[in-house]
Amino acid sequence: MHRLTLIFRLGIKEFWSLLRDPAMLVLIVYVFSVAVYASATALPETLNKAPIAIVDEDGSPLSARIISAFYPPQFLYPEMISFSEMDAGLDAGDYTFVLVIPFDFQRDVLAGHTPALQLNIDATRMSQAFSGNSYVQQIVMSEVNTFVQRYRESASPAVDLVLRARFNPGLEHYWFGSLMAIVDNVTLLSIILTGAALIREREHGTIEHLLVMPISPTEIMLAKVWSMGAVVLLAVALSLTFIVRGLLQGPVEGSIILFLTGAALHLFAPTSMGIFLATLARNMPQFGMLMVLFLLPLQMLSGSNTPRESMPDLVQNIMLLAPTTHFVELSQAILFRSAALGVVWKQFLVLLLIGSVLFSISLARFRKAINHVA
Amino acid sequence: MKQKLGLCCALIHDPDLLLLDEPTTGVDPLARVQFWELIARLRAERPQMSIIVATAYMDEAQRFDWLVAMDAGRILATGDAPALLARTECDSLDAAFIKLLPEEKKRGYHPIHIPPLPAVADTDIAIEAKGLTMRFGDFIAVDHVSFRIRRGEIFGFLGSNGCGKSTTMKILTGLLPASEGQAWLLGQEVDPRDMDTRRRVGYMSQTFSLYNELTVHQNLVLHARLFQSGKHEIPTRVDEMVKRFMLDNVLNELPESLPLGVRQRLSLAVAMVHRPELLILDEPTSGVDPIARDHFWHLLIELSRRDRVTIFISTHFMNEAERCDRISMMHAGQVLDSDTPAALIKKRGAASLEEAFIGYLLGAQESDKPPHTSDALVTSSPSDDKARFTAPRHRHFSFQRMLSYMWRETLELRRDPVRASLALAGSLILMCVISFGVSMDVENLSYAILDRDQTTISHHYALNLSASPHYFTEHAPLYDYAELDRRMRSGELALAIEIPEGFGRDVIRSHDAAIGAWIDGAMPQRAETVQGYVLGIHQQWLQGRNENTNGPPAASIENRYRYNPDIQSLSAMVPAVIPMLLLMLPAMLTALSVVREKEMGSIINLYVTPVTRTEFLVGKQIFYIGLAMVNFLLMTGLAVTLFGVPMTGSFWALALSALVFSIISTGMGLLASTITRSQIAAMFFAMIGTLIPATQFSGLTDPVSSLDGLGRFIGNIYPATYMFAISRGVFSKALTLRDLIGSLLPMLLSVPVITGLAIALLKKQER
Repeated sequence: MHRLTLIFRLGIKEFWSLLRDPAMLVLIVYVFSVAVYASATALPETLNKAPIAIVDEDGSPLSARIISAFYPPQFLYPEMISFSEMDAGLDAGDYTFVLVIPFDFQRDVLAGHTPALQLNIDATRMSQAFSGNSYVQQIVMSEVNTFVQRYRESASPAVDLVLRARFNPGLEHYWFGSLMAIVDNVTLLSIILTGAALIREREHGTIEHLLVMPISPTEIMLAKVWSMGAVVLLAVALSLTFIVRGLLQGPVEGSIILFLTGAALHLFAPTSMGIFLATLARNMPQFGMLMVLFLLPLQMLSGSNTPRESMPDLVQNIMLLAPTTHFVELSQAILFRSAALGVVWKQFLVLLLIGSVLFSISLARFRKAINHVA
Repeated sequence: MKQKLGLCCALIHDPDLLLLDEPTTGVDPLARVQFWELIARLRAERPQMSIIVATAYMDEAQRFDWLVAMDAGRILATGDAPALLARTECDSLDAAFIKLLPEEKKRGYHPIHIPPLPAVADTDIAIEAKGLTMRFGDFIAVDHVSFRIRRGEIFGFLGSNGCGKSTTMKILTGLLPASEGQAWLLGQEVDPRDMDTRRRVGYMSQTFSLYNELTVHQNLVLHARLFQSGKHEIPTRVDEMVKRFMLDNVLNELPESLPLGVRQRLSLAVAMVHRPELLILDEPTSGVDPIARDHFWHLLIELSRRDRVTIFISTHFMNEAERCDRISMMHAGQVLDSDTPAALIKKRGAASLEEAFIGYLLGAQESDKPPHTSDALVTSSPSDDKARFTAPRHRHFSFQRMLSYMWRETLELRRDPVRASLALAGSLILMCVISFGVSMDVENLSYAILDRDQTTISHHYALNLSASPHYFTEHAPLYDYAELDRRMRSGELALAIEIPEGFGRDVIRSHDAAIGAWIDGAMPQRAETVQGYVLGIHQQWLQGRNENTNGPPAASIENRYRYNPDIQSLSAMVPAVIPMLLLMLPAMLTALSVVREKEMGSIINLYVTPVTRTEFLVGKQIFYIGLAMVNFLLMTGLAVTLFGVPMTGSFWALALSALVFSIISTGMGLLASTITRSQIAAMFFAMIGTLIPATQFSGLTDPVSSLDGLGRFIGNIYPATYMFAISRGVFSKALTLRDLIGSLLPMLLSVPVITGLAIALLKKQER
């Protein structure tokens, strides 16, 4: 009991230290408000103003029809170019798409020869190339088909494919972007806050002071973990309430309590990691750089930005060791698909395991390192 | 030694005016004597040189030709030492200075008087050390140190800097484990896990080490609590400390805003808050002015004589050492002698403790190493005068000065392994991570089929899906909606296809039929790709059926994926990642370079030497440009080997552009570091200033022409836009320098703008 009060008191001290560090406060507020809002709105909606050019060698009513079917917001108004200008334009990156309508296109269509249009795509722009391609296909084919239908009756049966997106029917990017930003920020902030708290004590020489007092390294570390974890959890709860639900009017389907419980469990891992990095670094800048090296892989390969299944197998397997992978899975299940504990208990267990292992490693390292601090 | 080096650096150009700002603070007496001897010789050699010295040591001031006594920004008196002594009718400058001080500062001051130590039994020992030894690698910091301190005694540790005083104290407090030997505190052997003994000891370290973020009161309360004083007892105890250490009027202030003397009192109050029986004080008074120091000693004497607290204190002030009951003289890790100050003076046959100490030191040094007299330092004789460094006329730009800054950066990075490894390996690690992580391919999507029809046609439809290579991976079929819901909710399935009952029949009879596709919309981008795939496969199936019944479709579209025919994400990502990292990392590293000097104080060299801002910045920049180019080569090598991304265009065109781009990215780093004050701020600034515009507005995913408003404006002027185009052009589009001029020119234009801005914003004077 005595030990617990001690850890509690030391943690309270961390709050005071944080309160008097304006840079960190600004960072916390920024990360959970502006950054969340920015990631929500910055993700490009499917296709926006894709630059397209058309080489019209046919000059027929049908080709005019096709040309007029491309307009903003999905496409820019098409630029009319000649065949010889196409390569230079693509090389310079002026257009992502160049559609070539060949000679006698309309005649061949009406004659039933199935003429081919050529669509040149700058595949170095992956995202536009992918999503734009199917748009161009749909637009052109529907124009051609309506045109043809005026001349002949079609008797093909309509087998419809009814597409329904579950959990996010409108496929709204902002919803995904904002929630994943929060999930990423939990990891980011807990590493920074605990690491910075330890480095600050080292730079000011106060850690030495703590160590001559009747306090053990475990207690010092636990105090930092609980206090900084609490700050992050509070910020997450506020951000979910005011930014996602309030400002962005986004639906948060699942149980926020369950998500926060998962986050609390996850926090053990990155806070321990923060302490570990702080023992490796001699000062703040070194800590900042180490953090960039650790944090980017943890976040980018966790599945919060791009789906895990499209990463190489080796990467997928290595990332199973990272806490972020499981936290992202858990968060997506709870926040997007309203999963209950029955569905995500496995991730909870794995997080607990990874967290305990990381905590023990960091503690061992911390004990060893403080001898050199003094 | 450090001070001598500093002096040499200041003298290297034979100045006519030498400014020394507290050159000997914290330096031991012997080294101080040597330092002033050196100065005296220099003056003899260059009589035209004037020297201005600031000091807090009165014995040093005694030797100067002319003195200015100052307090709180005001001049108290001027004149030579005898004149000041005569004016104040004092026999020492210490006393004269105190007398000169304004009345309110002197209030409460009275000279130190130490009551004799009551007789203590020699067996009542508070601290005992036996053969304590501490090694750091080959270096022996403490070498078989033994001593005994009786209860209630004030025991002093006197010694030069780095002689092992602090290390010995840290061993006693349990902060450092001794390599050899034993020590006992209050009868208990020192053990870092022994919490009970810790509660009986107070410790105050060399530098002020309390929480600057907590107020004076909060600091006291926190420490009382951490020492687990009884809850009801804490407020009274804290009040007691506040009164005793005169902290009443600063209770709610932050320690940072307090003068050093008050902070020192606070440190002592904190060390005393739990009523320790033993105090370990490591140079508690260094840097504190004479009056505050004497105040501090009044408190110590009271603690020792009235409360019977044992005090173990280290110092390098002779007059403080004289006040101790007994002292140990330390040198190079060894205790030279221990006794009462009077006895030590007598043993050495010296006139003062200082003289005795210097005698001990010289004796120890002679036995240490062959006698090296400091005369060896002076080698230049008047005949050398012609060969002397003659100060060149000040030129506006000197390559030599610029290159020396470049050299300095090289050395610094070589000695900082963390930064060096980030500088070299960082880009490679991040390149792997980003290239794999930001994959646009969506593959191996898991799906399952809920087939309520179970006819040949429905089977054919299912087969059509599973036959599509590497897009989809089929999981066990579904049997009802509940299962579909559960498996989608857990994230197992990205897609579920429902074929309704009677589907086969309807298709054969050419009735309208529908198939349901449930897509996990949690990740919108992935969902869109899935939509595209499913629609495509569905169309294909339809077409296959239509051709059997209706003949060919009206028209077809041939897709030609240019530059990246296999549409591999890596081939698209890698050429974009290289410029991104070439922007971010050099900017971050360069950003640290200037602010670091600001934080460490070495920026003063820029202020006082003839180095111009351009030489300073460009010299540093050249080094980081070189580093960036090494990174460029490493990353390009990795791209064509490990990632197998072919380079189709001209390598030299890319290298030239990378060079220009490196100048820009390092320039942005300089810009970030000239306008910030702390390293952390500079780093964040550089990161935000490069990463956000590069990833959002520069055509990394969507071309600049697809952006609107401000984003588009930034994209058009931001150099990364052009570098992305060049990198993609050379890697994928087989372009050469001739094709790239249009992108290279805007980058070239931004070089003078960015570097010029950095130079203009760098201040040549401290603010």
